[in-house]
Amino acid sequence: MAARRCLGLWFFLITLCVVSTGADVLHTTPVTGTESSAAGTETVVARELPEAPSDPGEHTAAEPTREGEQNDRTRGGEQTLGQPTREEEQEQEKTREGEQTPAQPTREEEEEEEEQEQTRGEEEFTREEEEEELTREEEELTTEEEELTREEEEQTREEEELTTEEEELTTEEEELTREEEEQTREEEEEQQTTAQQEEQTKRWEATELEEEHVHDAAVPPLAGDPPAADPPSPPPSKDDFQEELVIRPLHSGDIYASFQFRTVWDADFMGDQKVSHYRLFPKSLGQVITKFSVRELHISFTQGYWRTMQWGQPYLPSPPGAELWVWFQDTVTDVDGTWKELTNVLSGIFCASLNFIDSTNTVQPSASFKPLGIGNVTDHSFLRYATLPREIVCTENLTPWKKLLPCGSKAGLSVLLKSEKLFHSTFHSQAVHVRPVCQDPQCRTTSMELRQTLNVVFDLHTSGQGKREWSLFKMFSRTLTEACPLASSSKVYVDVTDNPQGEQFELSPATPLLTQAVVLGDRRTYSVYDLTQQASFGSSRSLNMLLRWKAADGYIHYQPSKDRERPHLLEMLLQLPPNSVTEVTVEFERALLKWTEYTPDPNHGFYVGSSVISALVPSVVAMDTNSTLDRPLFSSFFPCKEEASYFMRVYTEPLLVNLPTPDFSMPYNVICLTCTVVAVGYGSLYNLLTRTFQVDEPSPGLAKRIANVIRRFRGVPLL
Amino acid sequence: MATAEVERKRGQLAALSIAVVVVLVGVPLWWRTTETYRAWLPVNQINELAELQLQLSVDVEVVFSRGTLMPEQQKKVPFTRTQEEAQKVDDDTTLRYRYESKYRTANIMEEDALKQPTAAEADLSLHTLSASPCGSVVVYVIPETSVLLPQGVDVYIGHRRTAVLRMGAPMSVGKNHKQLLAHLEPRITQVVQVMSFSHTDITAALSDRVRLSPGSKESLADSMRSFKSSPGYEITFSLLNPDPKSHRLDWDIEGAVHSYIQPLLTKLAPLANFSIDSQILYYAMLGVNPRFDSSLEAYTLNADSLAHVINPVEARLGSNAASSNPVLNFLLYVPDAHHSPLYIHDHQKQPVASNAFHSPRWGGIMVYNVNDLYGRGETPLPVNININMEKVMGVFLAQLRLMLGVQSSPAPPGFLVEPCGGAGLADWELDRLMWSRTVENVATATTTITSLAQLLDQIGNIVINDNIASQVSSTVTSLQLAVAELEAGNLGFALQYSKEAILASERAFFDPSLLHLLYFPDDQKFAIYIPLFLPMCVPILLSLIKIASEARQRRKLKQSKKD
Repeated sequence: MAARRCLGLWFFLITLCVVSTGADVLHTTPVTGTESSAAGTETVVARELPEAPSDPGEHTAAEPTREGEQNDRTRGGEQTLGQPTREEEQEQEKTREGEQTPAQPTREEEEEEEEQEQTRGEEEFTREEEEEELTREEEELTTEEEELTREEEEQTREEEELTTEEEELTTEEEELTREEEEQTREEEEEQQTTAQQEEQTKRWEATELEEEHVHDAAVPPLAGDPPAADPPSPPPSKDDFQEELVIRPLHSGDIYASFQFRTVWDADFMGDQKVSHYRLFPKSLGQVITKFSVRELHISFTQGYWRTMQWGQPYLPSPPGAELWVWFQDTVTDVDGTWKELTNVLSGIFCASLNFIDSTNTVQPSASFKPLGIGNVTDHSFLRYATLPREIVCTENLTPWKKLLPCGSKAGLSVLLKSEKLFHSTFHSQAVHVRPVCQDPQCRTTSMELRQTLNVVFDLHTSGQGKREWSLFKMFSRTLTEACPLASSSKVYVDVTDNPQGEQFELSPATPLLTQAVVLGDRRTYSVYDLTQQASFGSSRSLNMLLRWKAADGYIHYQPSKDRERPHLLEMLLQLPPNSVTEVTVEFERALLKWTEYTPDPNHGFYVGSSVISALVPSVVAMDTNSTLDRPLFSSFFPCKEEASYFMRVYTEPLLVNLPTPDFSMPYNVICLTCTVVAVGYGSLYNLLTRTFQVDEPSPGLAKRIANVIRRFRGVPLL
Repeated sequence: MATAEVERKRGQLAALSIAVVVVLVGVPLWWRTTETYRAWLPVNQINELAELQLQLSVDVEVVFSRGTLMPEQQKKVPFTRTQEEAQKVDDDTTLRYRYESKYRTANIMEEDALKQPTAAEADLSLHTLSASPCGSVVVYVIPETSVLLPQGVDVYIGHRRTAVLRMGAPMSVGKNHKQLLAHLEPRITQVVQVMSFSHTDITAALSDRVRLSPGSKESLADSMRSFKSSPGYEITFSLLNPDPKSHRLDWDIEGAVHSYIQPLLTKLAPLANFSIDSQILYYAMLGVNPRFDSSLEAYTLNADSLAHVINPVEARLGSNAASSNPVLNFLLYVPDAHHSPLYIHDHQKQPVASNAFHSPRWGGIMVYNVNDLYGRGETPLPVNININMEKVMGVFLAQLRLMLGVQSSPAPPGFLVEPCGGAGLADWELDRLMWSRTVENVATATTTITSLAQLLDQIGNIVINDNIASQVSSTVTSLQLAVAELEAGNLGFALQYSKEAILASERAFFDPSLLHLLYFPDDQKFAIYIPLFLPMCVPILLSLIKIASEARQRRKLKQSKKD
């Protein structure tokens, strides 16, 4: 037994070919997972996908198979329409066939993302529609409206530019500009343009200022005017900006990057004086907080699901989709109305469909979601909480989020926030937290704190290109060159707790600075790069941290399917520790076929071929490596390379998958049935009422009739 | 045979009664259930408003000081006199101006006030004596020999609603009171046109409604520069810092707003609500790379390229999320060390003294050079810079006046207009603005409401809810009130009502419920109704035809029997 245990290095080669009748329509997405080594049989384990409720396709009940169960997801045919995966986008271009979905990328996470991408199309479409609708909605939807009108204005202005550039312009064009401003409300009138009126007004003018005017204005106002008598306002309040990035290598080989940007402003938002002069704090957010008397505001947008089992706890948890919770100040009288308006405004600021928050998805938690800032508010009638699990997070949400940063994406850590990389990730979460905090240890005055956080998990296999190494450039396609000049502190932390001697990964450039922090009940060690120190950047004047994993094992080859051309192929080379259980889970995504592609018995299901496990198993006796030797035929088929192990191959059972089968005759049935009912009901009633009934002869007696019936049966002439 | 006949009759009756039931019950029922709800709208009143007849009345008080009237004139001069002037702007817009002049002689206190050494002091003390209501004008007529006005000045207009008019030489005036009035009236009208409204102002305000034949270039530019009338404005001051590594900027915007901008806005409060805020934008670049002019040792920005300056900045300015009022942007751009100084050149390639420019209905930009603070590379960057707000606010205030439409149109010769003081706005300037804004509001609201009525009339499928109907009615009421108040000369009320009218009309026009436009093309309607109607109507029609043909046959039979 001891020998067996230490020799237990198994090599598995799992090939999985998906074969289906007629055409390949089963979307298999293999997942890291299971193979019970002892039994050697494949187990397909049901697995609930996190964003299931957001999937508009229906969920069918799991069909029990022999070894386990599977939980397949159905997807509406239209929804999967022509969405190529990233891997084969180019190839797919040629072969795309309308309603079929091509294959999925390697891992389940990928699939999630992809699926969301697919729904994104729809989502965006609906959002566009909405916006159209919103153009005319009244004040409560002002933001959208405003955006649109701004666009319009931009157009007008562009046109204005043109007019400035052109020296001569007919009045007709000018008429057009004006018309746009007027939102084409009026009936257009044919207007007479005379050729002579070609001179165009200049739209950009230098401000001519008579000297006396400046002085007049600058002269302190007369004593008679009351507002001028007041002393000048107090000195501008202090504000402070910090930025920080934490990088944590995860056990699964993925990498977790967490950005935090913190602006603290010693301004009293809750006082009577209106806050209107902004420095580092973003004006748009500040105006919202002031207008709606918000005490605390927490908003997060998340794409993907945080896998706590694999990744541990995140620094800032957030649910998939959008989450918004707000504590209002106790001066607010109509909390529900304010909340409705606030969601509309926020949806404009963050380009998200937060305007879908209404009373049906708003709750007032009484025990959880206590204020995170100072202040012991207990009346939860000022709290509103809502989530939108369906919300798809994408670039259009990131851009306004970045705009809130004082340095934008021009300097500091925020240069790393490139949307094409951030959204090519397994998990993406961005959040804005506004809350009042203490200004000093005695907590006599309060400050407003704005924390913008962005958490992202990069997938090893899709972003790492097979190599187990990470760098800032690989993750974000950018390197750091400077700190944001407005930041009082700008630091990058790398979690090196699991790597004390550097046996797991190697971090370069090495930094002498180590710090310890207690986070989530655990003491962690971090390498620190201080971006405000020029030394951090080294001679190359840019910081590109490189993190190389040492142990490299395993091999994964995945070839996605092409609809009606080739099946999926997934091969994994695994080295298994002894006495361990490894599961490989394959999820099937169910799609609708073309209606001619269904077999005559579609309810029987569609077959998925067996998985294959090819293994080198430790042998109890020494194996004979010489193949030329004369041996019994049954023992010499597989050639033997090593003395200590023998080769074996295990096949799992084929899998029967139920695909959604449409009711092919439904519309026809409905039409027929309706017509029949109407025709029969109405027609017979009408007939009954209007027909002329005539009695030819008195009806024969009952006995005679019975006798006649019997006679008819017998074929005897009737009575 | 008889029973068969009875039975046939009964069948015919049944068919007829079904047809009757279908026509009497079925059709109205179907009609009512598929009807779209359309509340009643005051269409007649709206159509009346479509033909806008505005009458603007100004109360003018003419006060004769001692020595201007001869005794016999004094007796004969009427107490009141009304002057009317009608102007037809286009087919359905007419304007009537009505100047109601009241004549009286000055009382003792006014005489004393007019004896002050300077016109400004006289103006102040006259104001303390009696405050004239909004929209009215008081003209004091002083003798030709008075030393109150400097030489060559005939009319003085102060900060309030008073003007001082110097009487012409006695021989030119004549002795008759009619001659006197004939001499005075055109001059008073001129004063009133400066102080309350002129025809060009009013027609410019009507531009929403009436297509103007493009007049002179300047007047068009003037009319398009200022913002449209709106119930509120957002004023945003933005400090653009293109490179925080080069300089740290500090501006005392709160104090500056308090002492320079706020007095003007307080004055303008009856017109609209204003809210002010400010922000600092970092890494905000201009859209154009300024050219280095080696002769000036400075960077220059040409007037031609100004249009492209704003675009990249604009994206970051952000709109006010919390309101939908128009935003006036005032940007202060401080070029960084490597691109400074920066001067703006006008079309004649001459540097602009204020180093600022503005864009109509958008706002203004000022370039603030601080190159002398850099000290030629000796001081370590970033340099701390404190901005001189007095200089900046002077420019911004001038731009703000332009944007808000406080025009200081050139006064006619012989007029002396006292430059505006600390408040930034004279009372009569406010009146002027109120006149044109009221007319503009009325014009816009009528246009909105008539086009809404037209739209609702054209598209029968739009549901008109009760709240829209009430908004429309309140618009109409407010409009009628505003027009009436304008006729009565109550400018303050007229403005108030016109604001209400414009708010209600916009609310009605942009109501989302109007959008639930039930779009049912006719062919689809038929596709829906035919499966229901066809099986119902065919038997009815057939039996009706049968009954008719039978009746005809019977008549024929009777006729042949008769024959």
